[in-house]
Formats: sequence, structure tokens, C-alpha cells
Amino acid sequence: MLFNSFAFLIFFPVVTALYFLLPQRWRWLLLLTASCLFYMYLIPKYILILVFTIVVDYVAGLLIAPAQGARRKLFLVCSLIANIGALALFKYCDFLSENLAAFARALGWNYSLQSLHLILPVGLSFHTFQAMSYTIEVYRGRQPAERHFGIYALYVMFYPQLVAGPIERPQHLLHQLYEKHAFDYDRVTSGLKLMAWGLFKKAVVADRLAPFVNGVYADPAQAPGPVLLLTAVCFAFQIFCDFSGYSDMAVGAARVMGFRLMRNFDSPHLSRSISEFWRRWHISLSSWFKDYLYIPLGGHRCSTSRWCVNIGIVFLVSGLWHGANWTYVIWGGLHGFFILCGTATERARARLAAALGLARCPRVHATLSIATTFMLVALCLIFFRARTLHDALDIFRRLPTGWGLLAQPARLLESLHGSGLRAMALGLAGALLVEMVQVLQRRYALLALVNAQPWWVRWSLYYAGVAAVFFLYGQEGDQFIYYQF
Amino acid sequence: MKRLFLALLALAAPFAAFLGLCEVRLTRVPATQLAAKRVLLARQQAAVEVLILGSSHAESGLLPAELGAPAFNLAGPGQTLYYDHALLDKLQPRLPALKLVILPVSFLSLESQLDEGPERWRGYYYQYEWGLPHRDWHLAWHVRNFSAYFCYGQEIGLQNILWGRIRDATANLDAWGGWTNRPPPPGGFNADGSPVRLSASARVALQRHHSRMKPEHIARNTQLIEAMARQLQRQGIRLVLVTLPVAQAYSDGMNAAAYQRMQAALRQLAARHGLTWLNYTGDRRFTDADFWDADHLNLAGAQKFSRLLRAELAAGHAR
Repeated sequence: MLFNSFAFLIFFPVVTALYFLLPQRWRWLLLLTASCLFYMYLIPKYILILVFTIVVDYVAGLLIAPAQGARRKLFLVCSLIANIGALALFKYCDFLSENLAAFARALGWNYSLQSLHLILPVGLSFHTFQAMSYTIEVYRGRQPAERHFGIYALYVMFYPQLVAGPIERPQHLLHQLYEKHAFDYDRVTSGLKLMAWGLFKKAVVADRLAPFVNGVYADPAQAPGPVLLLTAVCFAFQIFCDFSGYSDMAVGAARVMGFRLMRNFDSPHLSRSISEFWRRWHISLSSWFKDYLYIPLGGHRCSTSRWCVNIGIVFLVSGLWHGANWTYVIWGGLHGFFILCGTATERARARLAAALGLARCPRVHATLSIATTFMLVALCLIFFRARTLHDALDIFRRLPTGWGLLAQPARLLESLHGSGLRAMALGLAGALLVEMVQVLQRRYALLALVNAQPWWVRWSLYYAGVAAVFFLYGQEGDQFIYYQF
Repeated sequence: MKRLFLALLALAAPFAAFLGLCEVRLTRVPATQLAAKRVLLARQQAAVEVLILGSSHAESGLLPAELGAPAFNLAGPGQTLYYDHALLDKLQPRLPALKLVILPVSFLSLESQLDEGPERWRGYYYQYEWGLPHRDWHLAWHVRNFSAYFCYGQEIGLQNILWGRIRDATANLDAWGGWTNRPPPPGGFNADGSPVRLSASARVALQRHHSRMKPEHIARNTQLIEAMARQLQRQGIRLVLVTLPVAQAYSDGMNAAAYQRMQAALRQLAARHGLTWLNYTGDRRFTDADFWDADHLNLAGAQKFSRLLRAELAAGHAR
């Protein structure tokens, strides 16, 4: 089920009302049932994969907790193999098979393996990672094994964050499933406001930008360089508003019922470096990789060469996590490369900034850093969005071409005509509003500021927000981009 | 909880009122081509002897006025065999004079489904205007199925309410669903008004068509044609399958294997059910001057083709 769907508009109030009406001892069952329905609305049979991972990890948790030494490790490894195996089967099998076949062809061998063409279960990477974090934390002794099967199942399946995160940790979410949450008007309205803000980002910004971006990426060979660059920028805003909009709705929906989910985004487009960007973008995933891959590999407390390898591994795996395609791997690899470059050139850049006098103008320096980081992120996203590696490379080849069109604005507008220009302009205006709100949020507690206003100011804002979604929503929006992962 | 309920009610009330007003007013004017054809067909249904189904190729390529009998063009952009079947199923009992159904089958018809392509949104119009269910049940609960405001989009809704201005789509059609004032199909013209080069148009169209074609759809779509054939045979109504002409640039670029699959399936169908299949792909009587773009006939081409089809149907030709 999609958060921006009519079905959810019925589902959410019904589940929430029942949640507050039911006694505490039945609430977990209600949420588990609701989560099953939420998931099965998409492809019902894929619930079996979830059941498989839940049973495996529940049993693994119970076995790991009392075990010691090699036995403890063995149970963890078995659970990880089962989780990664399910992920590999559905997500990476065809990719591996195609690449092996291509490699064999290059060597002149006759190799062919039947592709499985399995449909990727929605949110598989998200709930698999959440389940894995449980067994790892039990293994590390930081989390007691959960004995209540229903509660454990709910930890993996909790519907607000089931299909696209935030990827929660057991220490943060499991105990909340036992807590009694009473109806609290302020908390409920705060959750609803966050959901509305998320819907604005998705429906008004991301879905307005989508037709333009989709149109250009469907046939990038037709677009001149300036249009390709504009599309890259639009996609950076689109994916941010799409994914952070989803996360806001997830956090808001959970908050309405009294649950606290972790923050997934923290103004990533205001980052001054790629490493800062990854501390602000998809925080639940980057912290997952940090805790369960980067630090076990040795983190940064090792030789420089080893650290470079660690960064490379983490970002290549992160790219692969997003999708079974070389475009994602390259996208991840580029981010890793930029982080390494950023660290290697830190002193030289500081010297250059001082020489240029930027040290005396910290705002100008910060603006330049933010703009550079944003453009690097937007350009990397060309690999993320392009249908094929060939398309992505073609876009990079074409980026320097056609800039003469800037001298002929009429022709440039003509080349954009018919590709959703008006919707794109509206989407970009919405994206700027979102960015402005984020800048303000870093300085002020915006929600508290709004709540402190007289009632007519608050209600005017509420009506304006609902009117924006009601009158400006983008019609072509359906799925959230991150649902496919 | 009561306070929350009242607050939500106060917030939603003006929008609900606006929506209600929009819905009432939008039902009064057929604002889309599908609605216009529904209204026009309701007026002509007692007299219709020939029913034309199919996609935009038939919509622009077949002129009911040229077919020599009361014919109605019910073809529409993106209309797949699933919707042809559903429309026929719904309408055939309402058409007492029906003698012939022309079912255009384009290069991509057998291997595509509307809900899998970028034009899946058209399915909401079929649900809203005709009550035809989606093939994919996930779409059954979408708000666009139930509301004209959401189905048509907020621009039409706002134009209607704020300025009382709504385009009546029947103005573009004659009484029989044929075009009188046909706007160029998307991609048919450059921004300066000059027609697109057919080679460029063919490349774009084929890329779009090939990307949405899947051989696994052939079985289901063939079954739909068979169901239509059986239904019409029971009523003594003739069913003719027609593949409309396309520009040479398009036919030259068609995936040969897909075209062979299409030919094999349609020949088999025609033989099994005694159907006529008229295939105009690669017909040299049609030149580039007959097309809007690589796969849509222009008005002159549509006249030429409709007259030719009339003559061939009268002569009982089969290709």
C-alpha cells in the first residue's frame, strides 16, 4: 500500500482509531495484522518471504542469546546467510547470472544460465537489513533475544517503516512495542502535520518533477547539455522529496500512534562535503553500514590504504544495496571516491580557500562548498537514474554539448516544450520552498514557532498546506522511488 | 479524540465542498474524448451497424463517414485489446443494429498491456467513464476511479469552477465519433509547427513500443480476441481484424521477431475462427504524405484508407 493512495486514506484512520480503542494487550496483534494487510496489498504471496526471514531470525535470536564462542557465531552466520540468501535470490541472481554470461562470452566460453526473472518483493532490502540488525545486536550482547514471536514479527513488519525504512535498530524500536501509548492530541496533530509535510514533498514537488525527468531519461539522446544538467538537478530534488517525503510520512504515522522512529534526513542538500552528505542523507542506512560493515572492517583506525579499501567496500556495497545494476555500483563507487578525494585534498583546499580570501568570508565559502557538493551529488545521480550504463555514459558525453542554446532562450524553451515544463517549474519552486524550510529548521524550532502563533495564522497555514496538495499535486506520481529497493 | 475529529472536519470541509461542486459540474460536460464518445454513442446506439475499436492508430486512421454504413469510431489512444474486449462486452447488447466490428490490431497490440506502460493512467478514464475494471486490481482503489476532479486533473477542475470554462470534447468529433477537428498527435509536429521527420518519429515511436512489448502477453490477448469472436459469432455479427498502414520508416524498424510472432498468432486466430485479417503493414499504396507521424494516418491518409477498407470489405478480401 502506498502512503499517497486512497486505500491508505481509509486504512490509516481505521487502524489508528482501533489502536486507541483496543486494550494494550491486543494492540500488537492489531498492528501486526494491519502490517500484513499493508504489505499484502502489493503482492500477497511475497509475505511468505517476510515470514521466512522473521522465523529464521526469531529462532536465531533465541539460539544466539544463550550460546557462547563458536556456536554463537555459527548461529549468527546461519541467520545472516539465510537473510542475505533471500536478498541474493530475489535481487541479485539475474544480475550475477547475466554478468557471468557476459564474462564467459568475453572469454569465448559457452556459458548460459537461465535467468529467474523474479519480481523483487517491495522493500526487501529494508526489512532484511532491519532483521539482520536484530541478530547482530543479539550476538553482540547489546539486545536481549525477543521471546514474544508476535512482537518480534511486528518489529520487522511495523507498517509505517516496513517498505522503505527508516531501518530501525532493535534497541530503539522493540521496547516501544511494549509501551502503552495513550491518545495525546498534541502528539497526534504533530504526527499528522509531519505526514502532511511529507505528502507535500511527494505529491507537489517529486511528482511534479517526475514527468520532466522521466521524459528526458526516456530518450536522453534528444536533449542538449543544458537540459541534461537541469534534469540532473531536478532529479536530485525529486529523489530527495520523494524519499524524505516517504520518511516524513512514516515517522509521522508512527508518531500519531505514539512510536518514535529515527530521523532519516537532516537537510542533506546543505552539506558542505560528500562525507557530511552521508551523515545527513538516508541516515538509517548510512549508520547501518557504519555500524555493521565499516567499523567491523576496521573503520578509520587503521592504515590509510586499509581505510581507503574500507570506504571503497562500504560504498560499493551501498550502491549494490540500492539495485542490481552496474549503474548503482558506479554511483556508490563515485561517492566513495569523492570521500577519499575530499579527505586527501582537505589541506590543499584549505590553503586554496585562504589564498582566495574565502577564509575571511565564511558565508561565501560555505555557499560554494554547498553548491559544489550538491552538484557532485546531482551528477552522480545520473548513474542512479539512467536506465542503463550506456545511457548514463551517453549523458555525460552529451553534457558539454549544446550550451550555445543559452544564447537563444526561445529555442531552449522550445526544446523543453512538451516535456512538462510548467510542472517542472512548479516542482522546482516547491523544491526551493522545501530547502528554505530546511534552512529555517536549522535555526528555529519551526513547528513550535507555528504552534505559538494566533489560531488564525495557524489555521491559515494549515489551509494553505492542504490547498497546495489538493490543487497542485502531480498526477503522474504513483510509487515512491525507494519502494523498488 | 473529539477535538481532533472536529479539527479535521473543519480542515476538510471547504475542500470537500469544492470537490462536490466540481464533481457535479464536471458530470454535465463531456470534458474528455472518452466521455464525448460515450455521450455520442448513447445518441446513435440504435443505428450503429459498424463499430470500430482499437488504439490511436484506428482513432485517427478510420473515418466512420467513409465506411458506407452507420459506423461509430470507439477507438482511443492507448486502448488495448483488454479494453476493446471490455467495451464490446458492455456495449454489444446496446447496439441492436450491429453487423460488423472492426478490430484493429497494431504491431504492439498483442504484446502489450495498458497498465504496464507509461500510459497506465488512461485506465482510470476507462474506469471512471465506462465503469471498466482495471486489469491490475491494485489500481481498483485509486481515487481517480471515483472522482472526475482527480481523474481529469486539477487543471480541468479549477478551470471549471473558477472560470466556468470547460471544453466540450464532443466539439472535436462528428456524430459518429470521427474526428472533425483533429489535433495533431503528440510528437507529430515540431515546436515551430513543421511536421516531424518520419524517420525521427519512427525511431521514437518504435523505441516506445518495443520497450513495452512482451511476448508473454500474446496468449492472454489472443484469448481476448477469441472471446470477442465467439461472442460476435453467436450474435451473427462479423468480426474483422485490421492492421493499419504505417510509414515505411516505422515498418522497416519493427522488430522482425515480434512481427513474425504477431503474424503467426493472427493467422492462426483467423484460421481457427474463420476471421478476416487485413494487414496493411508495408502497403506501398500509402506514402509518407499520408501520415501525421510514423504510425498515425493524417486526414487524407485516413480517407484513403477508410475508402480502401470499405472496398476490400465489400469484396470480401483477405490478406
